[in-house]
Amino acid sequence: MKYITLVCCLLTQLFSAQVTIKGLLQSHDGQPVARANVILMDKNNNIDSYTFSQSNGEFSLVTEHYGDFVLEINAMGFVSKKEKVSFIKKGITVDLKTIVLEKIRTEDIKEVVISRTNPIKIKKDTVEYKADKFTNGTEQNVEDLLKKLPGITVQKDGKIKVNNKEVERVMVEGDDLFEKGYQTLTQNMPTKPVETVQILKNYSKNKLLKNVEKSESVAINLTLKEKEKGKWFGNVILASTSYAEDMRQGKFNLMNFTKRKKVYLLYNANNLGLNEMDGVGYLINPDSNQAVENVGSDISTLSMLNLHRKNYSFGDNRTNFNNDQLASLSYIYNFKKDWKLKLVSIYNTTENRNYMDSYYQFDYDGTSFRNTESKTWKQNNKNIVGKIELTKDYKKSNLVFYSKFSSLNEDNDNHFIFNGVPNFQSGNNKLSATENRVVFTKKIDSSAAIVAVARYIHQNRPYEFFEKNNLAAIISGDNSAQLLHQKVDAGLDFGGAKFSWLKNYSENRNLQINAGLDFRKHRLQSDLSLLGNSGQAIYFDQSAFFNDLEFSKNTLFSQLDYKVKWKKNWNFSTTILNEYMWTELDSTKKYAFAFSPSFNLGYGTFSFGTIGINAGKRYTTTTVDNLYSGYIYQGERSFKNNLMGFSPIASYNGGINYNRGDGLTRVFNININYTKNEDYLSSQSIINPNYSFYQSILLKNNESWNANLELKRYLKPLKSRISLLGNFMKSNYQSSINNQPLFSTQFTNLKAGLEMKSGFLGKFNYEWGYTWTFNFVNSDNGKNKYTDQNGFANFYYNLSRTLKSELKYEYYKSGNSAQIATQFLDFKLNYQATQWKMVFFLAANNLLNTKEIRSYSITNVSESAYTQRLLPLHIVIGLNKNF
Amino acid sequence: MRLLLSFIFLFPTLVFSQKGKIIVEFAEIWGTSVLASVLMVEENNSSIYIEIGNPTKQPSAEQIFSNNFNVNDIGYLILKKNDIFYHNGLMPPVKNVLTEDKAPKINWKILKETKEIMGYQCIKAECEFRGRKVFAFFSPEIPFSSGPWKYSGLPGLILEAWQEDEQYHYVTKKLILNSQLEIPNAITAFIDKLKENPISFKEYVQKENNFSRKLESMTRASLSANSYRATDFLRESDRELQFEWEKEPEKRGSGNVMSLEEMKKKVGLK
Repeated sequence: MKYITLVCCLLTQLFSAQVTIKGLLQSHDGQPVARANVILMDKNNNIDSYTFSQSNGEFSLVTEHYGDFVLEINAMGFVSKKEKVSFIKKGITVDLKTIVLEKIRTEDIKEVVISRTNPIKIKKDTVEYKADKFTNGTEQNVEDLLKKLPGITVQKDGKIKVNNKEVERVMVEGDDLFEKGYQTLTQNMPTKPVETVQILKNYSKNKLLKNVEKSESVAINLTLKEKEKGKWFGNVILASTSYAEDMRQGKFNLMNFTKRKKVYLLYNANNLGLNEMDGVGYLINPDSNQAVENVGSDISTLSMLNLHRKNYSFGDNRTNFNNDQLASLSYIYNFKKDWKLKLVSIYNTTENRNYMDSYYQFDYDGTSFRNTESKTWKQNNKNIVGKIELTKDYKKSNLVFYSKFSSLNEDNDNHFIFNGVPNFQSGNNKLSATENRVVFTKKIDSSAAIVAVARYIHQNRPYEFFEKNNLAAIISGDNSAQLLHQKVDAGLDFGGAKFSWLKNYSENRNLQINAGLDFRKHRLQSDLSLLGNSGQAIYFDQSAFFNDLEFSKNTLFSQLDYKVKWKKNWNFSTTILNEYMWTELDSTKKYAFAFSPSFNLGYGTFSFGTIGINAGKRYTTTTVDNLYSGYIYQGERSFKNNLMGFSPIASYNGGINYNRGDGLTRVFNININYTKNEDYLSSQSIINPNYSFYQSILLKNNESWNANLELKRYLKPLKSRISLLGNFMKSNYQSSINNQPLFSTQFTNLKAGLEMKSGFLGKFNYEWGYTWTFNFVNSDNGKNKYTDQNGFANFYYNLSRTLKSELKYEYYKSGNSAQIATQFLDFKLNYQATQWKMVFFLAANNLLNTKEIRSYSITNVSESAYTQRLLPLHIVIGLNKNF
Repeated sequence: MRLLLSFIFLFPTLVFSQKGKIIVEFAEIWGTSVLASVLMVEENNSSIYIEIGNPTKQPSAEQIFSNNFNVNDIGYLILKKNDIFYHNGLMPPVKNVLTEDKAPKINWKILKETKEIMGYQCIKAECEFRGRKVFAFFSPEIPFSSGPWKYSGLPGLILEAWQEDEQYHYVTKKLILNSQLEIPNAITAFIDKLKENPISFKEYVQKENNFSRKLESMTRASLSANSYRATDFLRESDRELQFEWEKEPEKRGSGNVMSLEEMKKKVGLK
């Protein structure tokens, strides 16, 4: 035993790699120096090890190296001392004995202040989160990660909110692949490659306008881990019901990102009722925002006719009988010489079906009839969209050019049974549109910039459809007429240019002046023909069913925006818009001048809350939709024309809003708005059992009120929030039916609701709500009132960290009390198999197997009831695998 | 009682000696806001660290160590004596208490990187402190083993420190060597008031956690229906995520999980 100990001791001595250096620190007068820093530096001046002297002045430190060292001793009130130490053997103790330190003379101790301004550039508008700190491996996609970050909520449709403000874009390494359709990215990109999530506040898309324009936007940027750059990753989702229901979903995302190059490939197909077009819909419609980089804020996709009736009563998951597929490729390349190229292309096909049985009773001024109908609508769309964007950055300016091409092809195949007689309707329309825009931005100095934008849009949309019904015979008075054949050809050319000057005088004062010019030309041709059974043309007087018009509108405008804040609590903003318009409608020229001022005044403190008052006047104008005078058959047994020319329409509005509370434990919100229109669009209609004619007319003076109330309170004992919701709406208008004088109708709508949501931190959570809507219709023709009710209750239960369930119940009751309520129950189970990077899910949709909506509605002249088919009970099993 | 006694016994010794103090004024970057904080270190390495809780108030060191200073602006106040920390908290339940934190000795790893800060050559070091990776630049030329928050134990004063996830980042704005500034009576009185409510560190952490849980519950409940938020760790936005006695950081939900039955009963469901 003794020997073993001895051997051990020897071995430790022999193999110990450590050297101990010790010593004693004293001042001249022999006092020990405590708390001195004793640092051992190697010959490269790197710290090898360090220690502090004890209260008796002794110190001892250990190193695993050998050679030449410097021992640096720093003690407060003493002159710094350096001692050379050298040793070549390991496993020894170097004793430096007593080291005497020289005191700093008291007269040398003077106060010294060293300061620097702006020690670090504070990214005031950026909050950054390390993704790893918020992930635990159960996140399936970026959306799951974002949900965990403070202040971030994700809505049902995938839209992200940061502190209740909607996120405008989600970028990867500073590049924006999907713009407003960012759900495609956030719902499919795995979290593993993400290094940080940056929340960018007061975000300006154009980096030259940062701190020049007053932006309230929020954007998110994802930075990637170095080792994940250039790798391919993505996910696959596969889901299916049983063979009997025959519903499926397949989704495939593939992406590869580097600093210079970003590629995103997507393929998606389903007939499960999922509307996956949300993420790409933004691409088809022309930009209509008021941004400084845009001109022509009132441009939308041409649409003259719609033969399809989609069921919008509930969400897509209930009503969307579909068969959709979508393929897209997005590509961004950053060239070395400040050029950036962005390409987006989408190809998709959709099919939507809707089934409805209805009963309609009309009773007015001696005309009384009832119709029973059964309708099936089916629409097939084929869309191709391509976009190319080129950006060139100069030192203090940049140039963005983009060109977009879209082609939409819509087919309608509808089957109707009208009072027992089968009819069909089949149609087609094609939209082809191109859009080009160039934006030049120049920063004048740190607070001012100029922006010039020019844009050209061309759209063309021909429609053609056939409908077999008894109208052909009624219109022509010829019983051999069987088919209506409606053709419409619509076109638009738009060109505009705008020049803006932006100046940020201070953090509190901001000015923007815009001036520009735009031209637009609308073309509309339509004719209706009637055909016999064998396709022969039937003669009838077409003059009332024919249009060939050209409408041009040119606008010269200037706009001033001014925003100011003062005394911390007050803010004021105003917009003054001047427009001079000259128009020509089939050689009738009209001129108009519109002056539209508006202002907003706000005051807010923490204890008082915030209050805002706004008022303004604005103009809209009649558009080509309101200008054609020949009847166009709209399907649905109705014809429409217009009895007006070009006219500016003035409206005034005023409002007040007040809110108070901390947003967390109590909230009080109220707003009241009033609008008065000098002119408004209404109709005079001729209603017959078999058809109706609608003529748009311009009438004077109508008004509407709208008020909202929200009260929220967190109840401590229940750990739940309770909300009271109220809404009031009142509006009036006049219209005429069957050549009778105008009569007035007043709609009043009062909504009252209650909602509760738990904030439990355990496995279980709930939320429920109930709303009553009281509707009052008062007209010269009689009074009506009815109440709609709806409610929901959702329960969440986490069986474990990886197995989560939710049960959702919905209740709808519309019309009067004789109606049948619609109820839904859905169950979802989600299992995260972290080790396989997979999620398995089970969704039992519509467990109560509610097959149809039964609804009842009433107007001042009619009563109608209908049933509309819903997606029946189906159970989906699926998996989502990341790679 | 023993705790109380130990406090009474300890605190008189926290009074600072007269000469050779060093004061560091930090800009503490916290998300998108900047908090003012100041550190005063005595020759004997005792220190006082004060963090102003409200980002709209940015007093200088001279203003903080003056009799005009409003002690209501104090967010955190951390006293260090013999490597033990005594401090209050930011959240309401621990705002007016004083706890004794015998934080474990930080095991710093000295790195090769150097940088000049305010004319001093500084060396980079890293450590794990209570569930967080922390980086610091310290200067051996300033022989105080101290720094912002509870970061100390390096052979030199810390002039810059940050959490790896950048939730908190301290940068030196001003350095006063051999300062003659004294702790004003207002702050001494504030400390005396805190001393009246001594609590153990575990209790302190528990109180903070309970309050965070309440806040999380309110946040979850305040969201609109069909939207939810999921967070793992209770203290994920805190400087101290995990403590010596914990196996893993405190989770959001693990505090008092009710059974489904209990919950249903509580909310009046069948």
